Amino acid sequence: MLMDVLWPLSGGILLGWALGSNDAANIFGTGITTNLIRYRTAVLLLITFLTLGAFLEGGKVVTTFQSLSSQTALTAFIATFSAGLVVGGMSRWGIPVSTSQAIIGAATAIGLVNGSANLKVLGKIVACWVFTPVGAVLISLVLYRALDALLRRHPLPFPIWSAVLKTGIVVSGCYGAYALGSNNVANTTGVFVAAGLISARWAVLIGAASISLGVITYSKNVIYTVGKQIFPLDPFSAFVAVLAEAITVHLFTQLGVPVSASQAIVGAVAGIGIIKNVRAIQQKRLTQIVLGWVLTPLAGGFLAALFSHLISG
Amino acid sequence: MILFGKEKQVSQLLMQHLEKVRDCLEKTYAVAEQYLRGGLEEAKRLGLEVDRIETEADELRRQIDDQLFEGAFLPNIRQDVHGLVSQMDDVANAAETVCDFILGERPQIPETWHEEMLTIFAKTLEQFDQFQAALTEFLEGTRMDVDEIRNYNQKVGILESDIDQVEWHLTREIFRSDLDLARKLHLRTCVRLSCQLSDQIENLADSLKLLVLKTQV
Repeated sequence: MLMDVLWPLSGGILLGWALGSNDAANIFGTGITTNLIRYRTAVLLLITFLTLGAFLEGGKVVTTFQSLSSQTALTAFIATFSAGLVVGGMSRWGIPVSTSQAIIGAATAIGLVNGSANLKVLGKIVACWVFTPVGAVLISLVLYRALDALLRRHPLPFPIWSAVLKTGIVVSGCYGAYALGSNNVANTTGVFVAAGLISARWAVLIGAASISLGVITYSKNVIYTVGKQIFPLDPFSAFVAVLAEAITVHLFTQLGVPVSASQAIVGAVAGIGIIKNVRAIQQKRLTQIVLGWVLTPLAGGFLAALFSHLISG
Repeated sequence: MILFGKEKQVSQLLMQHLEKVRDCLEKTYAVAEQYLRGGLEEAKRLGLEVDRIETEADELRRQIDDQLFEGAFLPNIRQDVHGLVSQMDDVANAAETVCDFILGERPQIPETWHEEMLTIFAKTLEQFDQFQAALTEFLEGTRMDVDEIRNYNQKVGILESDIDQVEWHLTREIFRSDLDLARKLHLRTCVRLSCQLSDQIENLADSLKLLVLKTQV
């Protein structure tokens, strides 16, 4: 009986692990690579707030998976396994990838195969993907200007300014972890709720645990390679970028749509680049994001449809 | 507040270090004054004071370093704070060097140049007071007034130029005089060492300017 549940869930657990190992860099990358916070402390904060976000608000996005398409234990496994292959493969080749887009593509393909795909829900999700980096740009622009104006009106003595920024970077990282947990936990186990295999409560528990496992076991290398590339920013800008990313992702949690934290941070950094009149993000990176909107769900969908076809004979 | 504990501690240590450096400069001025007026014994006593204060300043610098290692301030700022403290310590060291030179090598400075020599020390002290005001505003001002800091730093630069003028004039007079070459060179060294203090204080002001720039959004 337990094995009947565990074996399909293995796909989700693997996907959660991949998500955790990849997305930690977006949240505490700047803090760790600038030696503001120790790696161990960052990991502890990450898994704590990620789990909190998953428990308190992760259910909002789980319902979207239930309405996107119907699943069985087998198809849920196929969807998560396919998404995991896409995430793993693209990460291996150094191509930025969104777990949300991969799993949505896979789940939609299953829905198209079994005739249960809700294209209206899919349309809403795709629109939110486009607005993720765009929204992050706008939010970071507004935040930067507002905080800048506040600091100019009430300049802080240097020691307090430094301490406030230090704290701000850590607190925004915690909020980012919370937002990631609330928004992305459904990526790993939402399809199993749609399959009726587990309840939403168990889904967030297992999802949070698998993402945390990825953070603990495999995020370090990604943080030190990706984190530095994304954050050539001064401390104030880094603080605003992470906060804007967290707000963006959390907003989409309220809409019940899983989005990419990676694309949100790219948008936030680009927004700061606009204010400072510098190109904070390379053209290549922006092109990869746009291509990702199309290729990632297509790849996830293709693999899911292929496996589904092969298994059903 | 626990939140700002380390930063506050470093600020306090910095202010104490600043006072020690000022004391060194003030006592060095007094050494020069006593020496030129013939009070050699008093000059020696003051020279020992400078030595003692410089050692106390060293100890404060070590305490500041410890706090920086324990995580005070943002990581990218720590280097600048460390650099600033090192430069402040260099001023105290330079003041001690001047005292050692005067008391050890006993330069024979003709009376006509006494006032100009003392002007160098007086303006150097005034210059450091401007820097002290700038750093105090930076660390303790309730609303860090960047314009005020810039004004103080500007005055540091102006005073440095004044001291350069005095140095240039004195050097010219020394080498136009009838003194033998050895004495001329010795006096020139004395003047150069004395004026080096103001160059270092100007470097301090530049370092503070960079630190202020880094805090600006």
